[in-house]
Amino acid sequence: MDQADVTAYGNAASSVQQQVKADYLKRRGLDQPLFYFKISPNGLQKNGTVPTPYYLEAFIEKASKTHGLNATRAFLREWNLFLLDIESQTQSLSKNIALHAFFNDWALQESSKGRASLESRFLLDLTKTGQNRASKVMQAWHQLMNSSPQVTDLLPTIAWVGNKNQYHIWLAGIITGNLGTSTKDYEPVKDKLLSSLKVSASIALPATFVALVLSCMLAFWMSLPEKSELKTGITHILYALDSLPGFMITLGIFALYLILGGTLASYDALSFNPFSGTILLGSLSVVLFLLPFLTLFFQRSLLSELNQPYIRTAQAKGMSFRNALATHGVPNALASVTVVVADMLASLIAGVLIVEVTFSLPGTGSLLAHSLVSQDFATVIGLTLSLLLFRTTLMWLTEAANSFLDPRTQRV
Amino acid sequence: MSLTASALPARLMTYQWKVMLAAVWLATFTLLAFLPLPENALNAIPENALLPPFQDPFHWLGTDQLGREINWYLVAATQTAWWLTFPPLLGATLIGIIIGTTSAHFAKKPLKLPLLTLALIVLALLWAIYLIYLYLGWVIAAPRAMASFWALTFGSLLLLVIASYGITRITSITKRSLVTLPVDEAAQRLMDFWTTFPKLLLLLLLSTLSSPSVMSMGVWIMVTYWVLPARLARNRSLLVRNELFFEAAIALGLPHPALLIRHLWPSMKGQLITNFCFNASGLLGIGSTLAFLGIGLPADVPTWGKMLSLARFSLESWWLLLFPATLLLLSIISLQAVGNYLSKRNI
Repeated sequence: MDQADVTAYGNAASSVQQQVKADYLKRRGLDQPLFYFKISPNGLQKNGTVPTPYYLEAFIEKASKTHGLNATRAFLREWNLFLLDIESQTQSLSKNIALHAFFNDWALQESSKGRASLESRFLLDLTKTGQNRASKVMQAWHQLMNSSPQVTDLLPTIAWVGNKNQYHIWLAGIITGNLGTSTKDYEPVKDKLLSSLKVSASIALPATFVALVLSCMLAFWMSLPEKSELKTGITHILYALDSLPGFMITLGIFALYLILGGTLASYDALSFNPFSGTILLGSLSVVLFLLPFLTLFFQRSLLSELNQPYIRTAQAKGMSFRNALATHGVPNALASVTVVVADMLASLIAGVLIVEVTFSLPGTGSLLAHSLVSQDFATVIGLTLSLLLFRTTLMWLTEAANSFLDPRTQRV
Repeated sequence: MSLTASALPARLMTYQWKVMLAAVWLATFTLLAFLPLPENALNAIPENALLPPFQDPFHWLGTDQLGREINWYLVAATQTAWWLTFPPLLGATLIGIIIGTTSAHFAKKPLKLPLLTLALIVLALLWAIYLIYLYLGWVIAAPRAMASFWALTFGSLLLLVIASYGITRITSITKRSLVTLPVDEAAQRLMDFWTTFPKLLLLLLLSTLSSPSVMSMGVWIMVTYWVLPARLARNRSLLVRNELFFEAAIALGLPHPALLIRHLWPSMKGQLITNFCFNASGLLGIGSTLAFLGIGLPADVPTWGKMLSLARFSLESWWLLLFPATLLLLSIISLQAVGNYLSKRNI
């Protein structure tokens, strides 16, 4: 028993702990089998027909593991006969309880020394009852201790469980839109997701928009043929930004913010303001993550359009290079860019996560990070599923956008 | 890429000193990874907390908020970074080569197996998994079951040997009912699926499947990073397979390992090593991001990322931020410089 458990439940008897745990599992639906069928070794099968009392459950599992199923059953038979005898005669209740408690204590005892001392006390208690059957129980106990599991105990058995299993219940919940409740604070996962989405969207959407527009303009300017110091400087900065890990960019902005007199005041969820200082700073960091990659990619696809014959034709007909590039080059380059932009949007969550953790904003990213740390799997699964959904819809939208932007793909 | 042949050596010369510097740092990085730490080097001495650097010969890089010496803590963090970057990436590259070449091998003629053999293999695999489960879940907890367990294992092994011998004898069955296994197709779908998530997110999600430790993190990095080497290896070996020298080697009757080492490996070596450098620089960033977020590694493992994440709460002690950031950036830039040099040399 851990220290934390002791503070929660007090130094309760092991059978009480067992019951508390069983009640918890039942309340959360975790006592159901995991899947539609169950493969388990023959020797560990639960005897479904005879209801086993609480105090014997752990004992049966442990005894059949270490000494085999048959020997355990033989002992239990003797024990039940003995119980009938005791109950027919008036006995002191406390002694019975002590005898019952032995089984759970024995099963939970880790050290063999502790088990031996428990056993000797149990056997002593048995003889003290003065029953005729007590000696037979003792005999059965010794037989149990001397036997080992058989090969037949280790063979697998497959049992069909049916619809009443955890997986089925979970899957049915997911399909009907019920993502379950968080194991951390018992709040529905859906509510958590929706409230965090608001924060993340107000970071990511403006940032994406700004990054897209800015990178388009930058790339266009950089692919114009005139050379200048500024251009090479910006290219170097973009390459440097691209190789920096995202959290260092965020940390740098965070440090600048603090040095320039920002405060570490915590985010106020009640007065939600999509244009508050920290959210804008977060958006700025996301822009800096996206900008280098997008600009360099745009520039590359524009450069590949520069040498196309249609640009030359347009210039021959009297268009300036700048105009030819803007009216003919950009639309052609855009068509190949949509897929990359969709990919980038889908992976935006990773960038948003870093920003939200650094600035302590309650968005989806920090929700994911916190639920990963606290092993809140219901929330993690809910987040992952909604991410997959987001990604799939994005892919569909990209295909639609592509066929709209580039009519050539429709005919194929 | 647009360099002409005559301009190439001159450009390489200007690269030389940067690459030399990068190589020197990477060598130091590797040496640091094997440097044994003195005993009690990472002990916290609270009365020495937050001493600034370059003032005291005993704490020449300063101390952190718990009074640990930054110089030793940095060395320990560097070691973690090295062990979490190079060995796992090497493993990932190996896995990638194996999967990629296997996939390419079955690209033109898919694997065909007799139905009975396939069934036997599947059954044997399932049985092996069951035996492992039995050993971990039962026999370790109750050593009394050991004898029965080994009896079961050897008994089933004997049965397997007899069954496989029987199948090879009955040729009439093995000749008929061949099943086609789309190995290449499956491998490619797997690679596509693997790249749906960004690497950082994939690592985050995978790391929940095990308790946090350096070892398990290394395994998850391997699981995340095998895709790109696998794609490279597949493409390369598909190209080489059409070459005459490769056909000649097959005609000579070289065994598969020899084909792989003598004829496939030299042609994919360059690309794989370049890719390794870029991947390593990316992985350094992602690994420190994970440490920064505090996910996947136990709290007592020193890392650059954790130093940086703690430094953000006390920005006035600039040395806590500056030193790990410098080391991290130095390593990332060095790896990229070496990667750039190698990729230019390959062309």
